[in-house]
Amino acid sequence: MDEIFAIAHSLWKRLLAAKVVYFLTLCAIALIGITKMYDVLMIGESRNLMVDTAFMLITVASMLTVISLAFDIPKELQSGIASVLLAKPLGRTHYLIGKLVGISWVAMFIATLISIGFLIIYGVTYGAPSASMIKALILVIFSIIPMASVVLFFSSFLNEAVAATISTIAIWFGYMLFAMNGFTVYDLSVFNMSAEAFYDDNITNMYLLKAAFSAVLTGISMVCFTSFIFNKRDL
Amino acid sequence: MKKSNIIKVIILLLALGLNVKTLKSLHAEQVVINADRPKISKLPLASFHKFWADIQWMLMIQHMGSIDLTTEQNSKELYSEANTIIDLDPGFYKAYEISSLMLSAKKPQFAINLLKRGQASVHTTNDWRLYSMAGNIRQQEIFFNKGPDNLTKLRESIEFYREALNKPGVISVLEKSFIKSLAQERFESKGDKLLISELQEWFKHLSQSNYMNGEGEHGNSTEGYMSVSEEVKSELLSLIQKIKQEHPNDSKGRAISDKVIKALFKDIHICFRCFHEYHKGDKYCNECSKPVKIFGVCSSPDCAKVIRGHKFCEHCGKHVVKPKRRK
Repeated sequence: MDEIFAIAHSLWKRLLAAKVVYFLTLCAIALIGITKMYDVLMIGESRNLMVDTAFMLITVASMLTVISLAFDIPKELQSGIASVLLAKPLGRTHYLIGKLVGISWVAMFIATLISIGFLIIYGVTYGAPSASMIKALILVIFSIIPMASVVLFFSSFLNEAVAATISTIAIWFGYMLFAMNGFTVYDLSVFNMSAEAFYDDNITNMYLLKAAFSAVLTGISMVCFTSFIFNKRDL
Repeated sequence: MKKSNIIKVIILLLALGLNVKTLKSLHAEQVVINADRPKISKLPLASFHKFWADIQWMLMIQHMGSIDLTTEQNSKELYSEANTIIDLDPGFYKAYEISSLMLSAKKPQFAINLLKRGQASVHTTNDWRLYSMAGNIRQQEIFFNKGPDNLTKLRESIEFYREALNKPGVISVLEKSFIKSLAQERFESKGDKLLISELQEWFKHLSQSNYMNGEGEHGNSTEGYMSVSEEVKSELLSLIQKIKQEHPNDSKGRAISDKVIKALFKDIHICFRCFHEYHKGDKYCNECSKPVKIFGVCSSPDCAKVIRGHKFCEHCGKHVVKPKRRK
């Protein structure tokens, strides 16, 4: 367990040490605030735009953060850092779990920062946000686990650019597979409740719990599946 | 096979099985939370359908702003744009409202189609404005284009108004449009006189709403007496006056006027010639100059002044004789 947290912590420290992360987070929050100025252009529907932009930016920020893993793992494998790490009494599965936990922490931290910024702006502009809004934001944060596990899978056997591209496509289509063909093994659409947040539909606590459970299950199954491939690799 | 691999396979299968079950349950719950969800477009936009609807909305506003005159061609374009927005976000009220207003002149059927989509959306189904707008568009169509299918359109507008009146927050002025449409329908289908039909429909509508609401949405109701708002009262009085002027010898008109007066104007005094209200102490109607039955004056022939009290006259101190209730 300590090894997993050590790997996760190292990733956390490395990514959050970059000042650009905070600059981009601030840019995202500023963009959300700017949507209020579109009130005339939207014929009074700027609240709609603010909520939708916020959900879009939080999802994109989370996606971009987890995709950084597609550069991190192949780079470590190529530079030999991973080989050094794996030479120690550390299982390959532990290494994968450590990476998944680390990137999930970072993405969740950034998504939470933007969410808090959005909630403050929304509260000041339109009054207190509804419980549905907060729950929908929590769901976006949960979606980071399955997103990260998909990136982990592709980055375990592909090089940086290919892994990042395919992971992006996989995440993008992850929101639509169920709507397109009823696919229910991997589905990110259950985490997208932005319309329900805007219309203040009742997102139940049970839904939230089940979504969290599904996120963890997707993470577990992807780690197991990835470890078979990763264990076969000659490092 | 290694023991650790067997464990991993078991965990993988267990996690997959549980996840499929959880996802199925989440999909079912999603439809309960938002019944519009299955209607959302299948465009490959990840989770950004609603955001894309906003972008399309802004583009449509730009397009509408560039139009000087609505034509068949640009109406078709606007209709397609509005449908795209609604496909992405079926609860987008403004898209229904603004685009149906734009389309109502050249392509009223397009506007009605959009409004019907709004009426079917779970987030806008209780918005009376969508029904009222549809009713108004049909009325406008009937007014400008006299066609053989006018009666069908009229009946459709009646249904839209009826639906609107059943929705929360509806404004009372819509009752007027509803009643006028009902009267128009009787006029078109049976050849009944418009004004008389309108009064008859008002009476029927108010009897129903008073009966259905117990005390009535317009106020208290007692046996044989209906209580309605002042606006409706003045509307009815004006109708009675018009019937008197335009159809003075119509027995149906006289009968319904009497019925309405008995039910609604028991507490006010109306000149039975011109149906204008008169006040305490008036000897002649100030509208038609005909003599009216005096009320609210002291019963003593020596005094006969207008009194405020109910027991004694404040001018001569005599006991006030209560007048018999008018039938």
